[in-house]
Amino acid sequence: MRRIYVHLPRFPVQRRVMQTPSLAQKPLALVENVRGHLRVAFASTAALKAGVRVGMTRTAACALIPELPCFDYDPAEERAALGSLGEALLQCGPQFQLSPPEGLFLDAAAAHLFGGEEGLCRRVLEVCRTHGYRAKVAVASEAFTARALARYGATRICVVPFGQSARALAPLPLNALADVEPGLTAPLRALGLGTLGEVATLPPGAIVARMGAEGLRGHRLCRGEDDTPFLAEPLAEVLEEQIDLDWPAEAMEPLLFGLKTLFDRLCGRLCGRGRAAVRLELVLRLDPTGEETVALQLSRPSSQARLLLDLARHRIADLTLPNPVAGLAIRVLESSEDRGQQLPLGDAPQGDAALEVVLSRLSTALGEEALFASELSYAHRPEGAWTPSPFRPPERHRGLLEEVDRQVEGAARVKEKARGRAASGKYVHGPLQHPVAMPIGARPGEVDAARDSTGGGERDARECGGAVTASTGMRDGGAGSGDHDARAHGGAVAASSGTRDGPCGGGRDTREGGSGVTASTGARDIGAGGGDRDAWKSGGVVAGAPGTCDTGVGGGDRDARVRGSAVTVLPGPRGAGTDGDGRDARKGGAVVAGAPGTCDAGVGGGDHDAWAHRGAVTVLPGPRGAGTDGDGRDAWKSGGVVAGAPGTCDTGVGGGDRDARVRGSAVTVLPGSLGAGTDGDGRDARENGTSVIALPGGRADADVPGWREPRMGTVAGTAGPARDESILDTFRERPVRFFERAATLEAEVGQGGELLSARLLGKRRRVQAVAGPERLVGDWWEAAFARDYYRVCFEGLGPVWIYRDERDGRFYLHGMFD
Amino acid sequence: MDGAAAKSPAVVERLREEIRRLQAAPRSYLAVLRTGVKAFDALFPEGGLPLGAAVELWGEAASGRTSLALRAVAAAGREQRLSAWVDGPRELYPPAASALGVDLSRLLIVRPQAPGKLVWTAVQLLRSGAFACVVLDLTHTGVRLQLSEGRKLQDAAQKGGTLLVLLTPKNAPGDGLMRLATEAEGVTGLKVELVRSRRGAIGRRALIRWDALYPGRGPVYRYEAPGTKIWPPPAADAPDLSFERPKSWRERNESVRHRVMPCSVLGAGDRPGRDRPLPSLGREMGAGVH
Repeated sequence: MRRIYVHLPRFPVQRRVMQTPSLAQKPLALVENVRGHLRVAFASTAALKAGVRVGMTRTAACALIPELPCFDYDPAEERAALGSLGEALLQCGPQFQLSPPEGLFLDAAAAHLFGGEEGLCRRVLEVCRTHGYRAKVAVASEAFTARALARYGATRICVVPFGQSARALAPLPLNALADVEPGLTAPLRALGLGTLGEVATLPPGAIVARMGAEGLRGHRLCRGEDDTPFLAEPLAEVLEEQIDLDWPAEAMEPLLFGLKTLFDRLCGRLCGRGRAAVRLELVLRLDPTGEETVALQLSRPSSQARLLLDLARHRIADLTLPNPVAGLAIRVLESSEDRGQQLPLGDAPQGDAALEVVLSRLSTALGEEALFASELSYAHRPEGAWTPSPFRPPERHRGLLEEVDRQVEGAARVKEKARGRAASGKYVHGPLQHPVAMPIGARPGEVDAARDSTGGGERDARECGGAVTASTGMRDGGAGSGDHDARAHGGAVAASSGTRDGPCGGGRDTREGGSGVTASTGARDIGAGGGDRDAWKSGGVVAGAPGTCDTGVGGGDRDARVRGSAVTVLPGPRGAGTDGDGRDARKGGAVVAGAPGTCDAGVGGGDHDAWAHRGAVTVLPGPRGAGTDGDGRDAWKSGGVVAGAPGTCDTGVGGGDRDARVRGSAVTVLPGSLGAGTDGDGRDARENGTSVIALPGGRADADVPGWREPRMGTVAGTAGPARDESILDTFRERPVRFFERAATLEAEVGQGGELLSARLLGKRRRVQAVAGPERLVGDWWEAAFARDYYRVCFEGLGPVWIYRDERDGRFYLHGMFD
Repeated sequence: MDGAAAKSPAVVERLREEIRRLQAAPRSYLAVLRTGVKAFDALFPEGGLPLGAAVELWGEAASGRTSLALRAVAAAGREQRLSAWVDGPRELYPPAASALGVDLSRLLIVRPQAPGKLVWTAVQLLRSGAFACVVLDLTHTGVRLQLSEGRKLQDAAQKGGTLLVLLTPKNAPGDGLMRLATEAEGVTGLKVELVRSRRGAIGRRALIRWDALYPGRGPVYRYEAPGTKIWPPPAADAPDLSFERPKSWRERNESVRHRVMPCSVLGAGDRPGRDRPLPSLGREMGAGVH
């Protein structure tokens, strides 16, 4: 194995000089405690010239140089520093092995990437120089050869070809052997030998006879025969650097010196791993007790020590500490891949540094929460349509790369748009880049023990265009058998595993006329009438998810029809009533999805309708009707979004009645609605415009995998053909100035209910024009609200956004189109 | 191999030539931010809002100042440059900004708690030079810009090469900056007039239509004359605020409503079956039954 040895002469001394630049070119010594005596472990060149030697007592050294600065030598700390350098050198080789206290081995397998082994050596020296170290390197196939040549060789770079080790080692002095076999040097020197080459020429027998096994080992080393394995150093999971200051610091300057050392080492490690820090934590250890933690958040990932040091300096400049600082530690809490930055010729990355510095300064002065970027979130309540987020602007590519980026972005946008049109079962708001596709957890295989087995079930999913998917595991065990049809006129048809037919048999057809039909798992029909499932499609994708159970007398009726893009029926609905279950998911435009977990077990059954002609309707879980006559819930909307939450239970005699109809946006039926009435349950989700999604898991919200609070776009009053455009249009009708608290408007209303004038900005103003209403209704299971929004032009003012609260009939000012 | 070796000097030379050409080409620096509203951009000699300068948009509420500033921010975003919005009144609505073309990922919103920090924050952002456009919104903050502060802002904008857009209310104009007065013209649009400038052209004005400021659907989309839109008349008494459809069982069982009526509604001594005898079911169902 080819390996490179990096020799850092008197590494601890170099480090000490780097930490304290005033010591450069001056005598200094590092002392360690040896059996109660302080002895010199390392000394600088100036001290060595003055006569100080390693092993000399501190007293003797000070006798030679009275003002000799002596520092403690800490082997563990030196090893850690050496490890940091090794990690920084990982950009030159895949692995490294420490050889403390003055060197390390590096795997030279990647030499071809640097133009050969000499190029690799030059690169290693360059990295060392970047970190402030002087080094010598040697490449060889054996550890001893590389080490000896790097330490005692005449040149800074030495490359020994394979098989030439003995020749390369020959001129080296016997001291090279002393590092490995210290007991051999004196006997060999007594024999009159001065170089390794002279030792190598001796016959092995004579060496063994005089010096035994130890002599033979030394002899083999001198002949370039060394089989020492390469033991790669394991990398620490957490990137952390710490340092103890020589004395407690009460001023900024010593702290900055310490911080510079730490950031240099940390950034070297980051570079070696190809990472860039995103979030760091700086800990100031106080003397005698206590510590102060400072969080460093970067808007853009960086591994530049200078930038990080600037950032840290600004953050700690305003700190008031109760005690002096005794130590520093920096920990990388979050890192990302370092993708570098493309710069134009002759440019310097000063803009990023300036950004970080000003953000740091502002967050220190104003607080972290005062600075943020914003993200759109698809709540239909205007107050919740956006959320603050950390300010992390995308990296700006300059020069030619910018052009390439624009082209790539443009192509990606086109692709995304095309994909969005063909997307199936997914509610995507294209241009806003925040897909609102609800995570749908499939809970297949829920079984309803059938009491009645005569009515059977019927499921249809038809498609005329794209793909039709029926999921696995559907069972037909009723007397009336089951009928599964999956037909596609466009793409592919696939029938998946697990469909079962009970006693009376079943009929399944998997037909394909063009696209795709897939029947998925878990649907069971145990009624007498069997089940009937059809997946038809006229346009996009139709998928029937697992776990649908029809166990009632009347069976179940599920239709998922789409004439535009996609229809998805998700797992879990249960119909155990006498009259079975009827579910329809119809769509004339985009997406219709029926979610799992709906249960109808009552006598009267339930009626769930989700109609959408334009926008979005969501039926969410939770409300329960356990009365005698069942429950009726309607969520209608003419403009924005209607959402019905999961967990609705109808267990009464009369069953439940749920309607979610929308004439504007999308319809979403969420999981968990339970209907246990006698008359079964009927659910309709129809849409003429946008999308209808039914989500899974209604039985218990927490049990639904991937369940989260639904967020729907405020697609009020939209009739546009594309959903993305409708969302954007909706936001275009929102004011640029929005009041967190709506102001009460003193309004004059005419006989017919029209708004005539209002008192605004200190005077009464007549209405000049008006547009609306846009009705926003929602969250009836939480804090109900119902507002009719109008855009009104008052005399002497531009358009303002007001609403009439349905609860009290009063008008409120909510924003201004300033 | 020989062919490749022979080609490589030519390739290197071609690359060198390309580098020389790139270095010799004039660098395209961003000098102005064009809002895209031609009538507004034409007010400036540069054809847009100049970088390194401070512009004050001064006017009544709902007079289009914020939208114009957002158009400038959107222009900066299109050039992949960053912008900052010092939001004194805390009223900026990012969804609407996004609809105007603002790249929200490149827009830093700063909302200092203390109004006294607004100008300082803007100065810091301007001096950094990291932003192409900084908007300082002083509407509804009660802060009136002093002459010295205006000069400080202008110097910082010049030093950082950043455009400062200052939004001031009618009652608190700033001092010492190029000032554009904005005034809403009802449904038509807004009127912008250059009322203070050291570069001349004072008195130059433009009428900007709302649909030019909001292309596509905007605040005046589908406007109707007053009176044609009929609101539901406000209820005289407190309306029923139930969002649930009337219970079907209530309608069906109307005749025996009192049986399921919560006891708390009735008086303490008025509970049927407890405090007084149950009414006769036959009598309630009426004579038609029989």
